[in-house]
Order: sequence, then structure tokens, then C-alpha cells
Amino acid sequence: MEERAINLEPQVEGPKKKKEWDTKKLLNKFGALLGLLILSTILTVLTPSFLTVDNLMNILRQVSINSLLAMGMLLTIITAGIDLSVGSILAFAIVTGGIVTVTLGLSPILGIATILLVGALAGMINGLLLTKLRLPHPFISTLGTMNVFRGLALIVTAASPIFGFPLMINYIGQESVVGIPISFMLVIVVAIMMHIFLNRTSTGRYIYAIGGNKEAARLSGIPVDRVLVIVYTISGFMAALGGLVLIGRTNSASPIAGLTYELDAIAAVIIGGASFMGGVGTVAGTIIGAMIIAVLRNGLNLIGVSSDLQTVVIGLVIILAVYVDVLRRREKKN
Amino acid sequence: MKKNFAFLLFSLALLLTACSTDSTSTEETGNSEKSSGDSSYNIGVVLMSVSSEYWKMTMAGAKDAAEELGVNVEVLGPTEETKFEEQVKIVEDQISKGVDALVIAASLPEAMQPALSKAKEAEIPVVLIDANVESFEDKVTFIGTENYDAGKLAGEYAKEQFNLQDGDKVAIIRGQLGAKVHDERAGGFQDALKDLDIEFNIQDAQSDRVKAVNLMENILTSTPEIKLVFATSDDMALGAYKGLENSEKTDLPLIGFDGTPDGLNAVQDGFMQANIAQDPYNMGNTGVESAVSALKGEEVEERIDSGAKVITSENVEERIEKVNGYLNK
Repeated sequence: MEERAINLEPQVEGPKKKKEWDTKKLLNKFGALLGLLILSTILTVLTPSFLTVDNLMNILRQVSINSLLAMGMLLTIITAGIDLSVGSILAFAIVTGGIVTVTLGLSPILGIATILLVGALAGMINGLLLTKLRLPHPFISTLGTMNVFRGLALIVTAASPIFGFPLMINYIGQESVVGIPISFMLVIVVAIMMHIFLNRTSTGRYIYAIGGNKEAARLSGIPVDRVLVIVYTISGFMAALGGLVLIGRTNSASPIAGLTYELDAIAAVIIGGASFMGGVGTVAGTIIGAMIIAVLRNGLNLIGVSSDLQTVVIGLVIILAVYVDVLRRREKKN
Repeated sequence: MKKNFAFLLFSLALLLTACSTDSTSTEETGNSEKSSGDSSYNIGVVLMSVSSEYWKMTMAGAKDAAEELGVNVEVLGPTEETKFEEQVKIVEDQISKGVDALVIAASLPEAMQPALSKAKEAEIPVVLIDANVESFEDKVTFIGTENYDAGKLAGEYAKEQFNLQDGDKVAIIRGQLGAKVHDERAGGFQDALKDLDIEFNIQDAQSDRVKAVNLMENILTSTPEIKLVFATSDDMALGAYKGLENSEKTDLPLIGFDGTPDGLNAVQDGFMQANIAQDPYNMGNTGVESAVSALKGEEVEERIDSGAKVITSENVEERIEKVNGYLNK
């Protein structure tokens, strides 16, 4: 346990021996990236349609939603928590937005605001359940809200999808500027903001500290509960942002949208080098994790591998990524 | 440490290559089998999922057509029908792969619209099967069950077989009110009986088997004198049968819709008197055929009825054999 002493230094993974710092830091930082490059190289060799501008833009479009959700998930995982409700929050947020703009015919700006607000509020409820009701683990509270929000989404829409969003809302998920999907530009902007938040603000550092050792963080005067509520609120907000992109991509808001998205988000975070033990994880790693999943799916689709087999491959990659992490840790201890 | 890491990367690479070469090699053998013709069009067939029996029949139809016409098909789809965004991605990937034509069964039709527009931009002809995307006007054709006509078949069969009279009461258990497919099936059924003065008790079970059980029980409580039950999908019909069983009313005639293997078994076992079978095999088969016709610049009808058939105890054996034949491909 003393290994996980409180450490306010961002990006640092608990104490480590200085002399081996370089190789490890490099592997930690670039392990996933290396994986992505190797993967891309293999796919380029295997199928000529992989490395084309069209297809690369395709991948950027396809990675956007998961990247947004995964960045929110990253925060919860750094605090040694999890948010299983992101897929359901996404659905609930977009269908409420659909009711505001399509059913009631109100302004699209109000619609976007509703979507983001509903997402943030739903996330805040997760945070409050965790800190105020003292539910033992966010796995349980968010498992509960995962069902609650999914059910609410089905109820308010009477289980049917909403179509015909105004162009302004569709814009984000649908359009490209100079060939680059707007949704991916959004990902980049949000990623930069998130990186700054995690590394340059006190709240960001508290998030790592809580994941390193919650009790120690509490004792050292960090407002643990408040930070956790912020973390889950952001996660909900990011789910809603992902939802906004989904509306444009599919021209619709369905109450069954986002089923099992939480699993892809968790996978991206873990492949990107974060640890379920908390205290570790970076935004860049998470984006690369999401890219690995998206590239893998895209590439396997291009080759014509069935989705069943794709699921197997992605599962194996997750196990592989975690195993790398385990080896890394074991090495560190020695 | 470094060794371990290198080993892992290596095994990752190996895993991927193994997996992909595996599939390319099967694809290649597939090709050599199929490319008997001169033209070797590549056609992407994207289904709602690849894991249900219904879609396996569609897949069999598509593959048979490909073999016959000497073209290559690749049948893809998400693991579950609910993953509609995954399906959109698969279509996008097929477009960037540069297939010559697409045959698509969209699980959430409107959600497919943006991807279909991309196909149009890339000048890839699109054939829609099973579910129409009304807003996409540039499709080659839509091939699916003419639900109104199929509903009518059910009504006509009921009229002939069960000696319905003026004033008789008939229950209809249907999917989601307002859903076009179920409106058409129920509407066709009612219209076939419109010259009789039938009192219809229409209930919405939202295509859910369990809801159908409860509804059936409620109907029997409120109107015990009903003469016949028509359900607009097999799942609901099987639920309705359970409801009849619970109320000891299994002698009431029950008509199902879809022709799923479960539904056919129910006909064989005598639980269901008739089942209006859709023809997913034909959708896949005609889907690929129409795509090839479009590529060759031939005229294709705007709307093709894939057909429906009344299955009763007389022809159910034959049907089951046929379905099993498709499924074992």
C-alpha cells in the first residue's frame, strides 16, 4: 500500500526508481502508439484501401464518439472508479434534445444546450449517489443509473426513434471542413482542454491524487467528494457531447442509441495505458486507445472479417494491453 | 522488460496477421469458387445482424445469387440488430473500400440516410432489402415483403378456413401502434374480412413476446367469445399461444406472421394453424441480382415484392426442410 503514497505530480505513476526512468517512460508513453503504428502498417500491407485519404477520414469520423466518451471515462478510471451509464446517458440526453427541437420545434441552440445539460445533470446524479448516499462503488451506482437512464429514454420516446433534426444540430456529426470531419476537430479541441485540465489545474491533480490513494487524499485536505462529483458530471457531459455527434452521424436520436458504448470507452481507456487501480492514465493514451479500436474495426471490415471475429480480436487486444500493463508494474517493483 | 514488450507486440502482430490472412484466404477460395463468370463485380451486402436465423437465410440467398452470376459478395453486419451505428460504420467502410454495389438491410432506416448519401456521392448503386429508407430516393430498388398483401393473405385464409360470420369477434395482437409494418399487416388482414361485419379487438404488444402473453390473457377475460387470433409477428404469436394455454383456450385458431423457425415449429406442432412466411432468402437473392442488373445498366423495378406464403400443417414440413437447407450453408 505504501507504494501508492499520495503524489500530486501529474502523469507520474507512483514512485519509481529514477535510473530506469527513461525506458519506462518511453514505453509507457509510446507503447500504445507503437501498437497503433504496427497495426496500421499491417493493415496497409493487407488491404490497399486502408491507407487512402477517404478511409483515414472515415476512421476519424468513426473514432469521434468513442473518443469523447472515453475521455470522460478516463477521469472516472483515474479516480479508481468507473462509469457504466455513459451509453444510457447519451441516449437519454439526445432523445430529450430531440423532444425539444423536433417534437416541440424549439430552437436548435436550446436543443444543444438541453442535450449537454441533461448529460451533465445525469452525470452529477452519479457523483452524488456515490458521495452522498455512500454507495460502495461507482460500479454499482452507475449500473443502477445505466438502467434508469435507458428506461427513461425509452419512456419519454415511447420507444421510437426521433428523426428530422435541424441542420444546425446535425452539422457537428455530419459535416467536414477542408475534408476533415468536424466531429474529430471537436475531439482534438476537447482533448487539449482535458489535458490542460488534468495537468495544469489543482482539480486535475486532485483527480490523480484520489486515484493514487483516496484516504491519503482526504487526509491531506483534498475535497474528495466535490472532486468526484465533478468527475462524474464531466463524464456525463462528455457522453452527451458524443451523443451530439451521433445525432449528426445517424440523422436521428434513438432511445437504444449507445448500447454497450461504455464497454468501448472502457476498452479505449485501458488500451491507452490507464489502470483500474487508479491514479494512472493520460488523455493522449486514451485517444490512441480509441484509435486502435477504430482502426482495428475499420481494417477488419475492409478485409471482410465478420463482426463476430472482430469482437474476439478486440477482446484479445484488451487482454494484451492489460497484460503489458501488468508486466510493466511487475518490472517496476523489482 | 524490453524483451517482454517486444514479444507482446510481436504476438499482437501475429494475431492480426493470422486473423486477417485467415479471412482473406477463405475469401479467395470463395472467389475462385464464384468467379466462373467474366465480370467480377464486388458487392457488399450489409445486414442488420449476422447472428439470427432470419439473416442467415438472407445471407444464403445472397451467396447463391453471387455464385450463379459469377460475382463476389461479402456479407457483413453487426453482432446485434440494436447496433445501428456499427452498421453505419460497416457501410462507410464498404464505400471507402470501393465496392461496386451495396445491398443493405438497414436496422434503423433513417439513421442510414447519411451513409447512403455518401454511397450516392461515390456513385455506388444501392439496393435496399427488408426495410425501406423512404427518404433515400436514389436506391436502385427496394425489395421486401409487401406487408399489406401478406396481411391480406392471412385474412383470406382465416375467412376460408374458420367459417367466420357477421358479428364474430377477432383479436389482433400487433407491434407498436404507428409502426408502418404492423399498420400494413393488420390493415391488410382487416380489409380481407371487410365484407363480414367482424368486431376487431386490436391490441399493441410492441412486438414483445411477454407483453403478448399478458394481452392475450386480458383479451380472453374481457371478450371470451373471440373466434380467432392474428398476431403480426411470430414472437407475439408465440406469446399469444402461451396466453391461450394459460387460459386453457388452445382450441382457438391462431395465425402468426414471419415464418421464423420457431413459428414454423409451432405450425408443425399444431400450436399455430397458419403462419404467413416472409422470404428472407429471396430478399438476399433478388437483392444481389438487382445490384448486378443495375451495374450492367439494366432496368430494375422500383419496388420488388419478395413474396409471402401461407404455411399450414400441409406444407410446413417442406418449408422447414427448405429453411434448414438455407441455414446449413
